[in-house]
Amino acid sequence: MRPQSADLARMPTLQAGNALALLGPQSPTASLAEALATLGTNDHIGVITAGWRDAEGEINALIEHLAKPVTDLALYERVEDIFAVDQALFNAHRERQDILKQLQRLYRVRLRAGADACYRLMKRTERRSLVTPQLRAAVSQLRALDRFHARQIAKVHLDFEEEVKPYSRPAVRSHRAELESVLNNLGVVLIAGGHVAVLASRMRLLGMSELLAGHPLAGWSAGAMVLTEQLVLFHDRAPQGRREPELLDVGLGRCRGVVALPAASLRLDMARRDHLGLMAKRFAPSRCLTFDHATWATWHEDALIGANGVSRIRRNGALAELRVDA
Amino acid sequence: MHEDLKKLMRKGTPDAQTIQAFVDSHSFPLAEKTDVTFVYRGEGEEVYLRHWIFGLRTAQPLQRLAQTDLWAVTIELPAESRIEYKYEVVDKGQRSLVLDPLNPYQARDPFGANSVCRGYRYQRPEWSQADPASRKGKFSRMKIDSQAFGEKREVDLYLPARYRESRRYPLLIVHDGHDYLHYSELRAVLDNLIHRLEIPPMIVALTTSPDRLREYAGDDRHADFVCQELLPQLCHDLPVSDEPHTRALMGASFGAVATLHTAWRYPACFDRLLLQSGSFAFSDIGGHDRGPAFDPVVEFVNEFRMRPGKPAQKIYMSCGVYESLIYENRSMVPLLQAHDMQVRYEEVRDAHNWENWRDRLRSGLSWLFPGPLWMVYE
Repeated sequence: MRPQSADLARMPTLQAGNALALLGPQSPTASLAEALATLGTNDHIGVITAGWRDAEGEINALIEHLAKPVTDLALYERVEDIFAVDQALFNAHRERQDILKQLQRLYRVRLRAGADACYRLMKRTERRSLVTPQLRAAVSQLRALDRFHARQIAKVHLDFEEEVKPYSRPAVRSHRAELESVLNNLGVVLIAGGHVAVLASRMRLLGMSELLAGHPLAGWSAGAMVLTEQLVLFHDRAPQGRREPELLDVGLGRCRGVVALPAASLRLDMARRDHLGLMAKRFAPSRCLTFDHATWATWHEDALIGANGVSRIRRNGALAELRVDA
Repeated sequence: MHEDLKKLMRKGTPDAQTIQAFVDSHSFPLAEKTDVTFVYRGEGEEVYLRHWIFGLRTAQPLQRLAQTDLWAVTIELPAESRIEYKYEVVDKGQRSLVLDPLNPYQARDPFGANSVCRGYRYQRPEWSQADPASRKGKFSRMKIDSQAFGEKREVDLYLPARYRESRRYPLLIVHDGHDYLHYSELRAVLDNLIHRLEIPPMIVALTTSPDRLREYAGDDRHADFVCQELLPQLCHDLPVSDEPHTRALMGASFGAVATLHTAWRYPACFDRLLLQSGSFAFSDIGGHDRGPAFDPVVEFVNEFRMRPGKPAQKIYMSCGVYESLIYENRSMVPLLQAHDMQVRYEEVRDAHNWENWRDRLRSGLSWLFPGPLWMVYE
């Protein structure tokens, strides 16, 4: 449900950099302007549309919706420029991506088996006192696997940064300096949805975490995912069947303790409480939040200050509305 | 017989008004979990159900119900079946094939149209129907001066929505492309699957043969045309990715034979094949009884079975269990798998027709060309 104007009026207006909005898909109708009203935006807005890849920068619909000037930071294009002049960086980046893909495939082997064990145990009919500890142990192993995978990914990134020193390289330095200068004139920065791996990778290569410090941020769909600590891929309705949700990468971590699940009602089978419950348990204490079309939630200094239509998946697989006072 | 029809007749011979009320309040044929009752209303001396289910008697007589103008026959039809049929009506000594006047569902094909019986729980896939929300691809046409055929050939091209010269696209070449467009809703399917990220945006070349029974029956000229003429021109004129794993050939029936034959003759060109109800007739010993059009097919398939090589890496196959070709298609699967090809094979309760092939497109295309669905959150 969309907020009434009276609701908007009650929401606090913030100027500080630690203000943050996560939103669901913005098409066919957008709710960005409503969410931004709680963040205290100034006149000029920046946007990152790197997840759109070669459609980056096609932001007329966004400008129309916000009725304000919007500057695209052109991260996709900047990285293309960098790769064109720094072949060694490009090769190292390719190698890192290849390692990450291989890691993901290996993780998936263990994940499938671990999740399958959990679902089988959920169906067992032996005494509850016997099944419950087994199921807890199985979930615990899955959680350990997710943590292990996160550490592996973090190590790959760390090794890359130590060996390649991307931020010291002239092409990257030059673009970062330009971005810094552009960002000086911008208030809130929006991060659009799209291809989440491309978006995360381009932002990381340009060190956007540091450059965006102090800016209020609002991300929708994949943009919301990269603002959290862990990027979790999910889809129950793919043509080749369901896959267990996967941890893909670490995010910017600006929104802590949240796993963002955009378009959850479309992508997840909400009737499968076993699936939903296992996801909630795997990523706890982080909260799995559903961000359906045009829904949003806002935070300031890690405190939830507004929510509209967002739900939290509970450990039993049920949904609970995310509320400011909860 | 369907319970409602029994009830109608139980009270004695119903009058015309009662029959009309019954007809108006039911959908025909009357589908139940395991049976379907076909109902025809009209005058005649005899009425037959003509269907294309291999294994069942092809002309099942309908029985006139008491002194009414209602005729009915019940046949076993498992859940999720979909079959096509007509009625053959004998009236005043004249035989005529007619569509079922009580059934609005029809399927078209190059020979006309058939009525469609949607068995219990069969539903036309939602993704096979034009969706206004899906961005539409565009069509263009290219002409090829074919040395292989000694004449000009036209090929229609589907370019995906948001097509850009600067991108590299996977390529799909479709045999009987126009029939796929007209009878299998290929355009809507491509628009929807691409829009929903279930397959990547791709360039699709739609080929048509003026003499398909000859050119698609293991004809080397056709393989030369596809791999030495069409493919190079597509690569020259369009931003087509040059890696074999981004290229696929597909076809149904004889088109599937042409697909397999072309990939077999040029094993490095296409790594992905989509074969629907392939006419893969063969003879382990002796001849065959499928008629002279199949002679070159049998010759090719026999040779293929002797030395299949590795025409592709990934092959999606489908066949209806009500087809006469089910045995040949089933036989092909272990052969391909034994030669290190990754095969996905699906059987469905349908027959040799374009809507069967339409209904499998999502499964086949998304398996051969997985889209970015998993990674994209818009």
